[in-house]
Amino acid sequence: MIAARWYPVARERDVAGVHLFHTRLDGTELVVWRDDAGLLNAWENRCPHRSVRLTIGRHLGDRLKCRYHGWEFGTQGGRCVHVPAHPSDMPPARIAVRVFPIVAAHGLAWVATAPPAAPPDLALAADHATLLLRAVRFEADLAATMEALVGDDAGVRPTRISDAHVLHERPETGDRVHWLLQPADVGVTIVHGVLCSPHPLHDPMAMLREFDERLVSLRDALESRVAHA
Amino acid sequence: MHAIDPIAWNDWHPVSAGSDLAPGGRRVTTLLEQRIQVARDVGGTIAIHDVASGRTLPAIERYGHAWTCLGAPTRDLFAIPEADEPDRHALSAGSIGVHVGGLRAVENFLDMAHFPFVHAGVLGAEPHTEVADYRVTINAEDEVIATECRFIQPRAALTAEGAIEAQYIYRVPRPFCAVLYKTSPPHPARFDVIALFVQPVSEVESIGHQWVCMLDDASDDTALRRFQLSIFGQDRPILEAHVEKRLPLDPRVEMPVRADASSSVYRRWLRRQGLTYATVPEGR
Repeated sequence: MIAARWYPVARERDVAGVHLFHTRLDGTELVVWRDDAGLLNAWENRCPHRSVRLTIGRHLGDRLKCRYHGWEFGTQGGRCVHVPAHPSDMPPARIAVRVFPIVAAHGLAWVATAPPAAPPDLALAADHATLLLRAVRFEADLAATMEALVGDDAGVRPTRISDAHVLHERPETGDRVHWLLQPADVGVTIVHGVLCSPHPLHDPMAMLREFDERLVSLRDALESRVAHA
Repeated sequence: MHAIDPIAWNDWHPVSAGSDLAPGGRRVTTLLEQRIQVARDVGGTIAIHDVASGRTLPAIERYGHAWTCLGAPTRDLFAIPEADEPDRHALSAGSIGVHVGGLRAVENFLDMAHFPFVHAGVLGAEPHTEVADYRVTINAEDEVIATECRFIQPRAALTAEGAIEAQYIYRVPRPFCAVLYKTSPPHPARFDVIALFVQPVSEVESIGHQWVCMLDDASDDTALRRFQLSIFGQDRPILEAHVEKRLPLDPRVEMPVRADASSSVYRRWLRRQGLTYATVPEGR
């Protein structure tokens, strides 16, 4: 059981159009989607009728339609709004998908596993340039991934902000990277990153590559330690 | 000694289509996590062995398939009297591996509500999605029977020219086997018989063996097989999309509606027998 707080589960731009984004949080499969009014949904990826994944279903604008029996579930509450086998009946109110709180902030979509105290605040300076880094999947649990990021002091000053958030500061440039961790499953953690720089980013692709390489080498080192442990 | 559910262990299960075994041929397959060799000698007789122990297992060839039992059979293989009617055309209609527990495959076979969505344009079509109330009972032989089932189908069978209201009777003689009796377009008073015999490979993997026993004498074997395979081919990706590959027997885990009456009775019947293999037990 992970602590009750907001966890990043996707980049906001990955949840676009009629796409049904599939991810995991604490072992629970999620379908993350945006309705036609722009509102985000994070639902358990399981139709309450027969446990088929909703990610193989269809986005109908303000509801999802299950691929198996055509049951439809409304945005936000996840309430079942239509059971085609009984088209003239109102579906019972107890039939609903399990839904999670979701908010968008800093280019990421965040999901809470229980009502958390406060939404995530990265205290990003308004006059700084920000860049959303590529997420990298670690085959390691949340604690080990945290340790690897906190222990990474090559040219940076690491600070543990919470059990799922590490800050790396580069004294010579003033760059700050927030590493935001998604405990996806047993032994699987997805690391999201937000770069915040006091300088204009002239070559964002080069920055993305640099942080990609850095995170991937950190991951490889951690995974080989785990494999040999 | 084995640690597998005695109900599944002592039951008859299909392990090969008969037509997949030429004289002198053999194949190795998996039943309840045990490696099994199925062989046909040049005289045509089938012999079945447990690969690890070399133990000889009972072997029956019936309904187009080779059947065996890993333990001590507590009953005969169930009867399908139509198999003996001389004017029928019977054949095995394809064996397909599917990454789901076998009970999910049987339950899907009993379900009409998915026709317009999974078999669109063939066994159903929107907006004809309504499932009229039907009757589900347990008969004197302790089998689940669903009667008065009817559904509007664009192309119920190879012989169907246009949309008809197909009438069905479903029968579940054993946990992993189901038989469907379906309106035969050329013979309104009789029924085509379509059976799904599931080979439980493991709790989360199975092989669906189809067998048809039709009044249809116009279609050739290839066309019949292709029709049945295309139907199962549509079911397979949906079956493999279950988050939980085993069948939950706790009625609170998955929400049924009236159209799911046969599924609800099937689950209750499995629970009463105490079957645990390929199930999510109550309270988990």
